[in-house]
Amino acid sequence: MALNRMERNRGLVIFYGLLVWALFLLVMLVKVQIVDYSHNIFKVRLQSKRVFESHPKRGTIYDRNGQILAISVEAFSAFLSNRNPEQTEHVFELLTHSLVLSSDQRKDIWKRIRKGDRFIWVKRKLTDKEYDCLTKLQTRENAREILGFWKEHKRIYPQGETAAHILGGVGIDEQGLEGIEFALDHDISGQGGQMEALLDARKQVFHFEYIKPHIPGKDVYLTIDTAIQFFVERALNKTLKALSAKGGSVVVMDSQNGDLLAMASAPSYRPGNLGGESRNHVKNRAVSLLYDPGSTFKLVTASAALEDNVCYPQQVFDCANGELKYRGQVIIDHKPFSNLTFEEVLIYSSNIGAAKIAFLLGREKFYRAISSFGFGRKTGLPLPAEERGLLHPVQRWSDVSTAFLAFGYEILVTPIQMTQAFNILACGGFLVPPRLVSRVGNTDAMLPIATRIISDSTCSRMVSIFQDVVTKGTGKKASIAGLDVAGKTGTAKKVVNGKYSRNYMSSFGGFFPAGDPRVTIYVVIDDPQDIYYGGDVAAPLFREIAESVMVYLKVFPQSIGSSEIRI
Amino acid sequence: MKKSAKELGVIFLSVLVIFLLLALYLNLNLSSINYGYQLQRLSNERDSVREEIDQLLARKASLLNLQRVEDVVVGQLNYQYPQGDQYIKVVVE
Repeated sequence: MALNRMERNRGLVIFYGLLVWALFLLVMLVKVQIVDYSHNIFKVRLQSKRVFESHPKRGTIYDRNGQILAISVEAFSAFLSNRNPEQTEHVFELLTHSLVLSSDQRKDIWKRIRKGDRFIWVKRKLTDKEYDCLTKLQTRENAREILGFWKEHKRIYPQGETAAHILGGVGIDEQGLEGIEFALDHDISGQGGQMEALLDARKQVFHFEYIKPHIPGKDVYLTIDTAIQFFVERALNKTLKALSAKGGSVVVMDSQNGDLLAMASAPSYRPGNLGGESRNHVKNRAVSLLYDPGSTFKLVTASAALEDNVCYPQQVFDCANGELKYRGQVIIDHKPFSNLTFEEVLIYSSNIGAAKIAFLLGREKFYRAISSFGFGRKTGLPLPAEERGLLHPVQRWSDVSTAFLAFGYEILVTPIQMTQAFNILACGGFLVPPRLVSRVGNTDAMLPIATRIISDSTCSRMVSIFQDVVTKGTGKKASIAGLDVAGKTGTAKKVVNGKYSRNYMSSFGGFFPAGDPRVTIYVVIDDPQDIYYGGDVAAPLFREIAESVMVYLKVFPQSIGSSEIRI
Repeated sequence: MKKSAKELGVIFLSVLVIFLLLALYLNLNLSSINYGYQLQRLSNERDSVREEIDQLLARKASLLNLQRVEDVVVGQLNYQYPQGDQYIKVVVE
């Protein structure tokens, strides 16, 4: 059917009209999508772009067996957006029924609402129950504009007080304040990033990119064994309670590689409640308690004397029947001894005998020996409170310093330094610095470098003498049936107001099995009441801990008599 | 007239092709936005799964707290710590 001219023209007009429309659309699309693309994107970003700061989660702290010691989880904090004080007051009044706040906190919030502060924290890091209650309240009262929640992280210490002094604790903003949390804060906390996000009209993110990359916190693996730490803390607390002692510390170390298996201090605290604790509880005594070590220090005197061949094990010393006047000072023994051999001086812990050994050694050699055993300097543990102790240079020694240093006075040490010194005997004469952190993130910590301090023969001789201390000397209460234990007791007067007082520090250091040591333990009790000799106070605690550790690590006695079955 | 209709057809087809190409380009752009939403949703999901894992690990660690285990075992189940004479060494010859 032929179209007439009129119809054809009409068709052409419609066609051209559509063509122009399509071309217009095309041109506009090209303009919007290609020519003005950058400009349009800039405008979109201006309207919908938001920059978010991302706060990384702290890394988790594990023990040597992968048991979690500290972990961060999400928690919400509640705040008030105070645009209309009357409405805010009403909401706050309601939420106080669901939230436990102290009267001071309440007063402060009321004051801030009335003052017209726009942003007011109600409570940081709510518990799950509190958060549920408040979200219900928010919905019920339609208070979304007034009551808000901010997502944060909360540090949890699932083991409670266990290893509190090692872990330390964090502040309200998750910053490390004490212990490993503080010392390795840079690694554990990671680094916050910045994220640029594009939001649509419903405030939903449809595009995001990192402006500054977010570095998550690294996980930290400690050498501590939670089970041993638990045994140790329980036994220590029991002893402190029984003796009404002021405090105490126990260090348990793997004799061969210096790994710390436990490091306990008492009194203790809950790391999750660091802010509310007194400094006395937070103090990590294992690394920061400074005291005169007393007779445990004879370890250094005797080892140095044997190493320098200034005396021999059977050499006899006149112990002056328990009292020796020396340059205006009096040296006394805990009981009178006449003549004692070198070995007996250690076994029965004669101060006079030890002083005479030190005289043979001479002050220069003695100072060098003390220093080589690691005294007067930090062991290098990554703990912020570690003390270096106090060892005067030999030029500042008085006339009687050599004598008093021989049995552990005129020097200040820390329990960790004493553990390190005892471990020299357990490790065949090598000083192995203690190690607390085995891995940070994916990087294994460096193994400590062992340094030979005394020869094999000196070491064997000293171990044999220290075994006798436990079997027939002052350390009998540390003995374990069927197991060779080597150790030394110590009892030292405490300095109070610059003078030696009638308060004591009782200690015992030792290791087992003496033939092939696996565990070194050092115990110190601060100011026990009624009884105070290291052999009566610290040695039994050493035995209790050693027995638990022995079973746990399967270090069984060589023979346990009738309780032995042969199959 | 016949030639002119053919030319018009070519122009129309060209415009249509360009139009389709632009529509395709637009579609790709819209898809990328859609993928942005999906990516964000999956990223949130991943974060919440990670968080849930951490919450569960924290819960598990709290349940394995040795003090708690001891309280249950000694306090509720009346177990006792073995005494010295209860250790028996088994020697396999």
